[in-house]
Amino acid sequence: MSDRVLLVDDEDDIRAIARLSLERLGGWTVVTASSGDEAVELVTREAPFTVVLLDVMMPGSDGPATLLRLRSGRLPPQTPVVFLTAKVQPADRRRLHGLGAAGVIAKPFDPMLLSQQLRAILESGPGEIV
Amino acid sequence: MTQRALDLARAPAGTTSDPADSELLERITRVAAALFDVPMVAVTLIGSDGHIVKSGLGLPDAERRQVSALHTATLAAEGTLMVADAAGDPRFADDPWVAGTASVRFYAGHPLRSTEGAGIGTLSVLDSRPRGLADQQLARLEDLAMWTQEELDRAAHAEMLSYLRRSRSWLRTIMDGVAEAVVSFDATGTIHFANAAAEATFGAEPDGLLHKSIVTLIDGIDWDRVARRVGVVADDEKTVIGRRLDLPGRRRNGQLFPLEVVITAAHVNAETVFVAIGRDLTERHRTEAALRQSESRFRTIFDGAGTGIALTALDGQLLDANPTFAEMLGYSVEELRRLNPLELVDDPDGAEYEPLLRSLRSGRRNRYRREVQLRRRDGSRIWVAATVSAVPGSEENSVLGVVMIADISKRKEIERFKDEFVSVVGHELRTPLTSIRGALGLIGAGAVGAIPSEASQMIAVAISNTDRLVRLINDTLDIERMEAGRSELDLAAVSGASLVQQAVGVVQATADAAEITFNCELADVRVWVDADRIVQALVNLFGNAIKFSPRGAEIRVAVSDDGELVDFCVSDDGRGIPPDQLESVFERFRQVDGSDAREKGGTGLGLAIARSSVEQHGGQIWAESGEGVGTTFHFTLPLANQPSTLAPGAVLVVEDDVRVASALREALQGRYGTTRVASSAEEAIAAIRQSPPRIIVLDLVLPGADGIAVIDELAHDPKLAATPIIIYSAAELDHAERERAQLGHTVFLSKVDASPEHVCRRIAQLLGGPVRLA
Repeated sequence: MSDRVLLVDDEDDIRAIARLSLERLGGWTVVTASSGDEAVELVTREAPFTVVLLDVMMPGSDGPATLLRLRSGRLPPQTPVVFLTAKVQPADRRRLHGLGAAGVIAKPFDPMLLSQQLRAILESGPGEIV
Repeated sequence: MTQRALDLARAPAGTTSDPADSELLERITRVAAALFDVPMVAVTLIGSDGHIVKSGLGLPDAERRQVSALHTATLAAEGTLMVADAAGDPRFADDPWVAGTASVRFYAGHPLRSTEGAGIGTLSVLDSRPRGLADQQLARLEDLAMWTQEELDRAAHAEMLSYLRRSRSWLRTIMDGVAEAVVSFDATGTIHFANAAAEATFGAEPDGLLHKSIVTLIDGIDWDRVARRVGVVADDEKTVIGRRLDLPGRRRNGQLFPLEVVITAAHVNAETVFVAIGRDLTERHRTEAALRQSESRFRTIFDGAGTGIALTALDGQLLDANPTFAEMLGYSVEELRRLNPLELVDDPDGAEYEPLLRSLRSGRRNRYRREVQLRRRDGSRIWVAATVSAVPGSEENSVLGVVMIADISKRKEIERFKDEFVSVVGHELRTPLTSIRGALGLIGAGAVGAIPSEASQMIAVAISNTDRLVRLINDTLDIERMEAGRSELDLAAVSGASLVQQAVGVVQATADAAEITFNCELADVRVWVDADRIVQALVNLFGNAIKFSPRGAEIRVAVSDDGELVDFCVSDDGRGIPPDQLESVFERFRQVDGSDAREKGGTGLGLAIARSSVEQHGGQIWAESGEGVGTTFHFTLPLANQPSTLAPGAVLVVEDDVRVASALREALQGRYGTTRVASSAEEAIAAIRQSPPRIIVLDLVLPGADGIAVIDELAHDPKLAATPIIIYSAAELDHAERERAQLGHTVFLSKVDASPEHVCRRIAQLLGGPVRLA
């Protein structure tokens, strides 16, 4: 069975591109959610996941809030969460790491490299963005 | 003879002011002695206590001082009194002159009379043996008496004249010295006296006013009518005499002017003399008019100004406000007058503002500015830039405050919008770019099916331009954040070499593609910097060097230190920069060749960002180059201090506002341990003397002595003068105030803009290196 990723982003286009990129170029099985609420629901219904790829700026429950809800809900503590964000200031990155994120991938991402970036984070553990 | 002349003539011999008079009488007595062949001659004058011997030839001193009945009898006599033998005359036998040492026996005396016929004294001839005078001799004695009388008259008149001259000149001196015009005139209105001020006021030549009529000087006074009735009808007199009148005066050239005049009347014998004392009000009227005009001008400005202006008593009462002020706050001016102005700033008990107001009242400050939110009548808030200036009040030592407020809510709105824009733009612009970039990437890589090679080239163009657009957005946001001061430095002691290595890592792939190598010479130094920011600056410099280096070239990187500053140096063998552009390359969107941005794929912001970062660290950045010989960029950064230990209380906060003091104490606690707090300059000085602090956070407005007193204390001691100070004040300081507060390392932070956390970070910068808590 291939690795499963829960992709959470409110933008349909970005979900489509990230899904294509991760499925075609990385061989991932991608489950997408368009909001924090949906993510909270899917993380139980579609479990298990190898990793959660979570957008930061979303209406309603944003990335950090969703992370806290996932952690206090059904997401196993060992499942890494990687943020996807346009905010790439060092201070932002530190804040996200501080929330317990395994890594941060900057938007816009290169679809040719997205899967590699994700795997690199999973291999190295919490640390630098690629 | 007048009374004054008599007084003068009666003065005893030797006390008279004019020795010529005595000499004259002496001469008469000598003539008499020879003429009548007598040993004694006396001239007496009636004094306050009887006859006084004015001139006494041959008389013993005792008799000169004694009053003799002989003289009294002489004055009572019609003509000459002759006594042949006084010793045998019962009227005079006991007289001191007869019974005394003079032993007068014979006496012949003639009275001296004034022109009005009153007796004033005697001329007498005396002998110590009895004898008589022939009728012819008696007639001579009368002649001599007449002569004496005339001489006394003449002397008295001369004295009188001299007195009159003196008093006239004395009066003239006084009159010419008074500022008021003084004119005296008679009942017909004819002027007999005018002082210098009168001549100056009415414009006459010297003496030109004499004999003119008072009605030529004062317009609108019917002097004939007044004069006719003065002294006749008392009530009518009162309407003009002795009252202050405002009448037009008339100058010589006919010009009328405002005149304030008081006319007094003096009744001398049957005559009435009038004195008019007048003051030219032209100047006063002009001053008053100018004042009214200036007042009306300022009132117009006040009422029409687009700035809100209010006058306050500095003790809580608002005295006046212009319509703009009232309108901005939604109150009427009347309502504002009844309001405690401190309620407008939500500080009714003055906890926050009282120290500022106190310093204005005491004159320690004459102005302060701050941006503040005011509460409007409907409870909404308005942002204003407020300036309060102290102005002297009408009472001595009273101080009023002129408050000016400018509505800055639009600017605040724009600032807020800009802040929001900066944070949102990253997301809003990058989200569609993420989709575009992603889609292009997938198509270009053939992930969604094979494409023709020409299409693949077009996709590559689209991708590289999308990437450039993303970099442009990132750089724009970065530089915006830095230059707005919103980008805080997160300082740490970092190895210079590691910064260079990190930056090389970032650009390695690009350098490899251009076959460019790095030649690094890195000293082992540590700098006190925000590593991310310096790596970004280095990446930008390296990117620049790679872009302009020929294929296969070498970029030299050196880090060295001079014991205080660390120099970072990046050299390339590119085409160089013309000397006139060495400065401007650091400006935004400035490139040596306009086509560079397109060809080289840069954003035009890299060097501007590098400069912002370096300068924010207190360093400098510059370029050295000659056209065609490559470029060397240098920048300097502060060397990190050795780790030091902070004792408790090493940070001294001087602040009288307990809320601000405790917020600072809380913010500093984690990094710098326990903070000492002094609530007055006196306490602060005591604390400094007890144990010198490593750093001071100082409010300038304090009860009693102000913060400058603390700075003065530090300046006195060379060991303390280098203590870093953060001036943390509510009011904006002007240039002069900054000058006064400047000492060694002084940083100015405004309480309005800078949070306690901000203060905390500035402390880190001023300490210049890592600290450990003791």
